Amino acid sequence: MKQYRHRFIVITTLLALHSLNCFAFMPENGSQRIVVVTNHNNNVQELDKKGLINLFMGKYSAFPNGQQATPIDVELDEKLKAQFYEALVGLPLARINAYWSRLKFSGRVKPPAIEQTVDAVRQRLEDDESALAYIYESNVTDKMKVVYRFD
Amino acid sequence: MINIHGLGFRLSLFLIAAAMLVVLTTTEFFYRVTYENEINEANHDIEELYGTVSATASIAAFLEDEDLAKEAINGLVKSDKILAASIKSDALYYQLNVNEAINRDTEPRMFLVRNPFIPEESLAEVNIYPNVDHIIGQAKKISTDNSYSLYAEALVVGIVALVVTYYIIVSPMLRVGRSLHKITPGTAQRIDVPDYHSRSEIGALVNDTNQLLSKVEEQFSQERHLREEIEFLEKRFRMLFENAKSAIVLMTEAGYIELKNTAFTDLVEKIGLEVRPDYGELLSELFENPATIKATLLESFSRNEFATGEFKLKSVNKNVMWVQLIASVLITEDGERFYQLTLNDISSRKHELQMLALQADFDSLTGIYNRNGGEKLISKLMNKGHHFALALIDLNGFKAVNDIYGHDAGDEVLIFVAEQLKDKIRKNDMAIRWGGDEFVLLLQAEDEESVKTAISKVNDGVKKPFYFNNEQTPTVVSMSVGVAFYPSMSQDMNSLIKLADIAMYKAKQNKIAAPEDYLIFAQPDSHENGDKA
Repeated sequence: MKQYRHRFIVITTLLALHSLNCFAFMPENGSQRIVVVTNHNNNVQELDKKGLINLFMGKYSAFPNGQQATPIDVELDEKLKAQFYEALVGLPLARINAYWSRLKFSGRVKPPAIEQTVDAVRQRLEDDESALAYIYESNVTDKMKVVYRFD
Repeated sequence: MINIHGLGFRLSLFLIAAAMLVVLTTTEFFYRVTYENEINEANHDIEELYGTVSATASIAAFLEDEDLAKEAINGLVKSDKILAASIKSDALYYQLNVNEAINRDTEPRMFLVRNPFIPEESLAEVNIYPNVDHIIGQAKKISTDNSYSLYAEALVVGIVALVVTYYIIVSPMLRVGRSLHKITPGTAQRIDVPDYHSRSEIGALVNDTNQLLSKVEEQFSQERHLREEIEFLEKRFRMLFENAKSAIVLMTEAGYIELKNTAFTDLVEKIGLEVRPDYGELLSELFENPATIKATLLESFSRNEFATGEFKLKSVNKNVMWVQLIASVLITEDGERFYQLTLNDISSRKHELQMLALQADFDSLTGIYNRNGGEKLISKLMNKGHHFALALIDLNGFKAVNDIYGHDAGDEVLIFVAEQLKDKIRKNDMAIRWGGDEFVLLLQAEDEESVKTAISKVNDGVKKPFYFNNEQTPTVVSMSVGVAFYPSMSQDMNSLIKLADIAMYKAKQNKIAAPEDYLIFAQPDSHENGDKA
């Protein structure tokens, strides 16, 4: 009994530390919230999380309104990418990469298109109407439309 | 060959039976346990197998990708344990072998396929049909193998136990038994303690047995010694008994002879009787007067004394046998009553005594009664109440013969006279040499006439002329006789003789003057007169 209580105390302490850490992270990246955006000319106004998963994990290649969708991964900003997938499906990048490696041979399912930098992603969003990408909220411009926000 | 009552055989039977019992009970149990275990294991394996394809199935369901679904289902059915499988979602259906599984009435196991990215969402279900036949077959095979290995193990344990018990217990015991069988009790033979058994129970048994053998040997030698002593003694006793000069008999109360020695047999043969095992109670049939013997002996026995006496034996031939009999009662420890009779042959002694008595009563020169014998005869006749005449005879001229021709001639005269007396008297009359040249005749006569007749016959004989040493002149002896009657004249022997003596003296007066009156009868008065004179 005493031992269990002890363990309970340790766990609660760890949880408390973790939440503190979150709070510590949040102010630092206060402007670093991720949003999913499309070209501002795109008809799609809003997407839900499931819809995002279906598009980014290759189930569908079109928006619910039937318009073609091109999800875009950022290659070089690992931090952003990892944060996005963690928030979307709760999996680390290694698992996401393993998922795509497994499907690469089937040929029917396509992974998201790749842009090297965040700036390239921004450019692609402004040029391509079908583009769908995740960016920090601070990088949102007038030519983009936010279709999903992570809480 | 095999002793079915032997230790080894019984032990093997018990061991085999016990092993079989153990195996029967345990294999049944283990078979069931193994079987259930294998079935559970198979179910668990199916879950694990599903685990290997669940990711693929999940992705296939998410992407509604038939190729991936096929891959997952085919992968499952490749396993021997799975007969068929199917995956079913809103957009996807794929199955392999399901129809066959349904034909075989196999119950499927259902697994939910979740969205790989939204675990809360079920996208499809996978039904897996276990290959029940294969699983059961496998389980049975393993269980049976286990059972067989148990049987084999029990067999091995049984054989090992048998071999071990045989070498440790049965074989040494058999060896001990065999050597015990060969041993002759009472000798110095002993059983060897089997190797490595000096401190085991078998060793203790052997040691105890050897101790027992030692005791037996000791007892045997003691008994042998005792027996030798007894035999030695018995031989001596037998010698003593058999060689005894006395006839010895041990007999039962009823008269059956239990033991007799050679002397007894000789004695019986000597009196001309057959050798028999029984001569009546107390050998009474051997004796001349059985009733007396029995009465005498029993009377002594009743006084708790041994009986002794001299008895005459019955005689079939003419052998007169006298024995000294010593008889005593023997009572054994068991209360049986025996008689011991010893018979000493005293016939010769008896004969000698008789001869002695004869010598005392007869005259050694003439062979007729002497004075001693004569007196006995007279008193015997008197006691019996006989009537008789006593004639006292004195020879005339005898002294001259003695003087002239010597004593031998005198003796010849006396012998002659005695013979004449013996010859001339009647059968019932008696002649006695009273002493010197005096003779007495006891005549059965009560009157003077018959006495005269008898005496004259005697006188005729005595008067015969006598020739000594071829002499020409004959010698003639005459006699003077005085007679007294019993009991008419006197009832007392001495008085009677005295009367006769007086009468004879009177006759003597006439020997020259009137030799014809040589015989004078006593006068009772004259006796009194004579006494007075």
